[in-house]
Amino acid sequence: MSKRKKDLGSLLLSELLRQASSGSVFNHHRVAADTQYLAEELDAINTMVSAGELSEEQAAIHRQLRLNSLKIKLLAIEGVDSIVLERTLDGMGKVIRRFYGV
Amino acid sequence: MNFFSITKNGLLAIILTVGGCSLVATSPYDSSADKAITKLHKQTAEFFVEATKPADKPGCGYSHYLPFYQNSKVAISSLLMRARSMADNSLTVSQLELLSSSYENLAQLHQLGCFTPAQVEELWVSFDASFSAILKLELAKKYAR
Repeated sequence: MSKRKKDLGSLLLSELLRQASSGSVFNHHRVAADTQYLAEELDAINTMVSAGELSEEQAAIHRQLRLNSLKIKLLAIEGVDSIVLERTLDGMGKVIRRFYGV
Repeated sequence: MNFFSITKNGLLAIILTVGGCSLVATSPYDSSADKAITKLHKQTAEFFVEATKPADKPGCGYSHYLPFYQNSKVAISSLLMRARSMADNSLTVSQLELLSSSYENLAQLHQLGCFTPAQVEELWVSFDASFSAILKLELAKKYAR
């Protein structure tokens, strides 16, 4: 019985690693990159205001557009992560069903 | 402690980590939404190509582009209605609501004056990134499953 549990554990771990290698399960680095990009864009808007290319009113709308864009990207990351997680859990469920012949 | 006990503990840790993540149910792929988003992206790209004309030239103002703003509003409204009617589609609905807000912001900005080439470039980058993210989620519903 103990041997069976170990075998199942190994199978589940290999399935998890297979899923993790086929797609990015965790995307925190992308969130960090997008946030960094937003900071650079906001800085560019401030530069345009300083240069007199944009009024404060225009700059506020530009900033809102950048924030909307980042929020849309974050929602996509959340959605894709959920789908990948769902796929991973499905894969592990299949391993368990195969293991017990269900 | 042998290899298997490490594997078991590691597996338990991974399952607890994964279990700690929020799993948001997502709706199935919608090919009509995919096509409509791609079409709206093309219309918006055409608008920005057209809007790169010099700010001092006639026809650069908001009123000249009124049909674009009206068509975009209708397109996004249809997309939102379809997205809201599907179960477990809250993420896509939120994305489309933000995109709708971005079109309103674009119209407000245009009403303040003609766009400079630098502004057009910045605006296009922002809209292109938004469309890419919306399509990325929609296509993940199809291909990542």
